[in-house]
Amino acid sequence: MNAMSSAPAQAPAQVERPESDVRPDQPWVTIVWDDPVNLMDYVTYVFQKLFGYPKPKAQRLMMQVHVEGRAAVSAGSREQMENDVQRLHAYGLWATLQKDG
Amino acid sequence: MAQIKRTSRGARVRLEGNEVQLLGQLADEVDLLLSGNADDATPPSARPAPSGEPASPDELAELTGLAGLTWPTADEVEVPDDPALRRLLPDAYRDDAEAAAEFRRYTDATLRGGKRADVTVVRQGLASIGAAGERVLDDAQVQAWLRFLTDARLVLASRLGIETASDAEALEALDADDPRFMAYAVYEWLVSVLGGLLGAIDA
Repeated sequence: MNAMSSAPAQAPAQVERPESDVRPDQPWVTIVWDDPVNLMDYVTYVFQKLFGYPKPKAQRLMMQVHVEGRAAVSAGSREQMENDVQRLHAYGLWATLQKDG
Repeated sequence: MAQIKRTSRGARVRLEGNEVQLLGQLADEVDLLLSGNADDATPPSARPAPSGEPASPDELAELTGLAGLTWPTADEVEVPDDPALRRLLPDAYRDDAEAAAEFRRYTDATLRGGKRADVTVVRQGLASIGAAGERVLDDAQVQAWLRFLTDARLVLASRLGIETASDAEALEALDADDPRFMAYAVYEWLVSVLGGLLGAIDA
């Protein structure tokens, strides 16, 4: 949950958001960044637990984080991605959100 | 050595006295770190239950309806100076300082409060284990333990200067009289506790 999701749906982005954010259909992604601390099994587990991904998908994403340094682990609205980032931070993963592409 | 087994009721955690003491110290350190400048904004849902068997933070937040609320603070919440705390409460936007500041303003208290509630769950578990030698943790408690153990490792890693995998490897060769030796041993020991818990539950 976040402040943005509690704003009236009729008035998106006018006060809180800069000009560039007015397109509500713009997809956002949650990025998880590699860190040398979190265990591979733990990262896999968190992806399963938070996103409901089957283990093979969670492992593939974990390996992508590990090998490429980052992976997009979820996509959706800005509000959904802020929620995902917050849940990942609660589990100690290093996550950010950004516009896709 | 910590023994963690899967049971029908949850993960059974057995710890030795010195292990209980060690985790208790880590709980104090993590809690102290998190109790920094935003203490007043800690949501009531995250405060320890006054008595009896506490509800998990998630349960409590749902009971009180707090799960759906945000806790904006009056002013901007500053990015923590302490790198360990900054790792526990990282920026949500990498290239947009304004959005990162706004996100922090609305979520800092909730994130801190959740982490401190995890510490409370761990402390209660440690009290049982200290008295009885073991305790069966249900799923919500295991989640709190996993998050806490991770936060504790992140804090230790920050203090030890672990920023890359090779930093961590270099610490394996520390002499026993190095001031970092003990912290690194604890950091590695936490891996076994975390791994034990992961092995005793299903995703």
